[in-house]
Amino acid sequence: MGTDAITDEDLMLRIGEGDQTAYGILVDRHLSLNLGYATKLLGNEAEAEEVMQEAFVRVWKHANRWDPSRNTRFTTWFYRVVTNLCYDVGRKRKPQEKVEVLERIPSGEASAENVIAVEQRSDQVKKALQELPQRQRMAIMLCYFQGLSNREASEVMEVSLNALESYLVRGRRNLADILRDEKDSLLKEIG
Amino acid sequence: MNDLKLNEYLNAYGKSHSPEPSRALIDNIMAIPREIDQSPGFSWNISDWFLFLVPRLSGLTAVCILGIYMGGAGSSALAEDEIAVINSQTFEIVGAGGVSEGDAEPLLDVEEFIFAEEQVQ
Repeated sequence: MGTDAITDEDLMLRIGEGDQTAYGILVDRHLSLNLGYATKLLGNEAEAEEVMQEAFVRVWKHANRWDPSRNTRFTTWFYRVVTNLCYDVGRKRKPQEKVEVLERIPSGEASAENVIAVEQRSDQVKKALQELPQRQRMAIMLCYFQGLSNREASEVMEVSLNALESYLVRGRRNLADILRDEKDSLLKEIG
Repeated sequence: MNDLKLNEYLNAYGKSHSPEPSRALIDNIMAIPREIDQSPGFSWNISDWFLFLVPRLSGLTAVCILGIYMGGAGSSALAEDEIAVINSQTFEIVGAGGVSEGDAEPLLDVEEFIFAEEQVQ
């Protein structure tokens, strides 16, 4: 029987008994995806790595309190842990650190071809996402980049399905507005 | 910006901002079980409960007894201090020096207070 047949919840029970192999399998399954999530949420890879370390410390420390009778999915619980840790990091940030993230966006000195280049597009999205309200950003992250269904995302965010859909609609609209404004200002600078 | 264009931007971002975990990060995370003890789970062992409860209950009892003792003594002592301050209050009359304790009571009478003032003049 391969390790794929073992559910995350079963692995948590085994980790609770001190099984380091089970812990390794869980890390292998969830590290990469959640690192991407934390990086996008924070806009900073170094901070995201710290968040992931702390998140797995919590997995290891609290696995023996995992209660299978509560029917909580590991993925949902783990996304909540990572999200809350990201919020904590965001709260502790100094104002100038936020500015630093934005300053890494290329200025309008590039040629018109570069403006529409894929790399620059993604940088624009990164900047725009950082400007979105936290809940809207999180809804977009979970549904578009993490591939969660609306139902799963609403469970992670601990909101109703309607509220999640509202965050998504408003988030997309705000994102489009920010990107349009930025594109206009870039074109003005070039032209 | 229409939905199609926005999806294009989101896809570009999703592809370029999904970092692979570094070797150092993986090593640090895999080292966690060797470096950190798991939280103790729920125990049905009576001796564990005994060791957990006895020091806490002893401390709580001691604090309660001390609180009752200090609370009772504290309030009466404060009241006595206030009475002592009133008894030793001194009234100053310009040019007459201090009039204290025994003299303080008659001074409450307005007529005698005026008399004392005339004497000073």
